[in-house]
Amino acid sequence: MSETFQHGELKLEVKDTTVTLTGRSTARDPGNFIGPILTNLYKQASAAGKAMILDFRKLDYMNSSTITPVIRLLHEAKKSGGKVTITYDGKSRWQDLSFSALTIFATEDKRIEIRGE
Amino acid sequence: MTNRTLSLDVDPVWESIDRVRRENEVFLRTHQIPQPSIEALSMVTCELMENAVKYGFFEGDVKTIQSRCSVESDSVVLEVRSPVKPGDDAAMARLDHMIQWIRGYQDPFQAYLMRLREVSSQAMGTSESGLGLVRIAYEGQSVLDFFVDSGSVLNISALHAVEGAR
Repeated sequence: MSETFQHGELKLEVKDTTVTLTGRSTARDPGNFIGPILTNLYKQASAAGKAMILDFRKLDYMNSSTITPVIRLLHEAKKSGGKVTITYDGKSRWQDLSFSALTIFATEDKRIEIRGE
Repeated sequence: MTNRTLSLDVDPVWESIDRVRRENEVFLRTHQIPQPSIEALSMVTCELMENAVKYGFFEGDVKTIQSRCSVESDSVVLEVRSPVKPGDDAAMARLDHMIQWIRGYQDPFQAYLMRLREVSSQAMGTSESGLGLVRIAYEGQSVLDFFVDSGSVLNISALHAVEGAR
């Protein structure tokens, strides 16, 4: 079973502990929309002992305000021992530049993983 | 000869951002700018326009945002002009500090990583990240500059080097 959330041109599909983002994230304050969804799912995934997966591969564009809730989630997961995996399209130039930088939050034990595919 | 500059004058509303992005993209394609540069410049356009809409002061004589996209022989220059509140020296000092801070890094990637670390530890409700300008330098591979004219209009520009620009 999956649940879909839409805000402007951005769509978030939540299935089990995976969030798939599609479209363009250009809202003035996307954190108001994305933040609570990510936080809730992270709590659910952590309670179940599972990794939360954020799949950005089908995202066409995001503004810098979209990055903020994502990196705060990574920071929180790193601190609290949770598991988060980010997947992005390694062949897309903008995705590679944006998401490869997030490897600074990755952990050696792969609890926090940033994966270009 | 094809015009080398696209000038747009738009209302300071969120919808204008995408309009300027799309028109800049079409303009850059007509000048055969390589696709990776077009993508980078689209992001730069959006970030500069977002800042203009968010932080511009439109209660004075100037009620619009002006965008200019100029194709030079080896670069593209994006300029966004928006009015600022007269006498708001603190905001201009913050902008100056941020641009100087970015320039202080030989590699903008290092500045970007530093900013990511700082923003990651901010509270979830904090809305202003300051990531936009440093993203322009790193991901947009552009050099930022700005000045405020005598009419209190901020002109912020991003210069993006392009091989084979026409």
